Amino acid sequence: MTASIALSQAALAPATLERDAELMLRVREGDAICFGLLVDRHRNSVVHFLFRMVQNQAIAEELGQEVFLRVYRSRQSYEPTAKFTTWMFRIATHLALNWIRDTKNEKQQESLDQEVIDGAARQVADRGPSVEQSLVAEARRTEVRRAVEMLPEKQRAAVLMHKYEELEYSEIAQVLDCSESAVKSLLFRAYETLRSRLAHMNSDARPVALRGKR
Amino acid sequence: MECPVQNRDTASLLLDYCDRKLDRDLMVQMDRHVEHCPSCQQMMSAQRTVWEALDEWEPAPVTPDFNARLFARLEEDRPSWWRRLIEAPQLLWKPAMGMAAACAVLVTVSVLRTPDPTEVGTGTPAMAQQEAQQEAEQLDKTLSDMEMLQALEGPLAGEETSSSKSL
Repeated sequence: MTASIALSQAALAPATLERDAELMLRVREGDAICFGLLVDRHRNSVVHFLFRMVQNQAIAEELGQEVFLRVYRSRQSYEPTAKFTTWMFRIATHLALNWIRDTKNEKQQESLDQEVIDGAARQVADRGPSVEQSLVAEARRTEVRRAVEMLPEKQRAAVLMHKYEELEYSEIAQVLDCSESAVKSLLFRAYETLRSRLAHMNSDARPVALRGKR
Repeated sequence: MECPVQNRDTASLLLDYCDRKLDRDLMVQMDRHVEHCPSCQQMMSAQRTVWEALDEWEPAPVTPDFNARLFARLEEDRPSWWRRLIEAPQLLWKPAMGMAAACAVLVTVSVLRTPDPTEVGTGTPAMAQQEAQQEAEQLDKTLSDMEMLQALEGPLAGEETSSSKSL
């Protein structure tokens, strides 16, 4: 199965413009090649979303594989009643929330350890502007990471889907199994928290090399 | 226009305004409002800072062997050929299994009922012919024995006849 899918993907990947639902319907009929195309199309967004949720690359990839495994296992009962990405992110969010709850106590210890590591990195002596820039950039990323990590899980998921995946309020509502007004409330509180925690990181404070991004 | 910052229900308007996702009419209304609202201006500035900071958070690339590991797990997940045969609905395995079971019973019965070829008795035509031959041989022997007896009784029978006549 592995070799045949790899060869077929190489042959077909540039040519397909089919929608996700159409591909998934073919997967339901037993077309493993279309499943490979879906994986290629959504692998990065799923894993990156999971990484920002759980903040561990290895766990994110493991959960990402679990997402696609579940998609494949439920192929027989797939019905295109909702967007494929909504369904996929619903699985991903469910897995991430479960993992976060299951490892909450362990993560508190890891956060403390990470602070020590970050602290050590900041204490490195000045070696030059490029090193300083990269240290500043790393420090900013750490602050962003922590600010997001401190959000309640559902607010975190809502922000990540809204900001990085650009899902609509209605789609986020389907993923989180709540109303649109509940999603807006989640986002309001999440962004309010992030604004207060990251207010000092305005554009003027950024190194020159990082300005003008986006 | 009511300030969206003051009302949580409409705060999402400001988010969409910052992201340029509102329709044209609403965008025009918001432009006019924000131009004169310090609260909205402050919130928009802070929100842009948040978004730019979030943009800087780029995750590491997915490892190159992600697909290979996934397909390997799918392969492990694949059921055995026997299980696929049982569960494949298109093969209509239930009636097929029933027919197979009936055939197995018939074969078993026929094997059990087939007589032992070493046993003597009626059965195959060859055995019947053998039996007939044996009977014929026995009949011939019996007839020859009878002839022998008659030959032996002949002179004695003649002597008895003559003696009966002489009396």
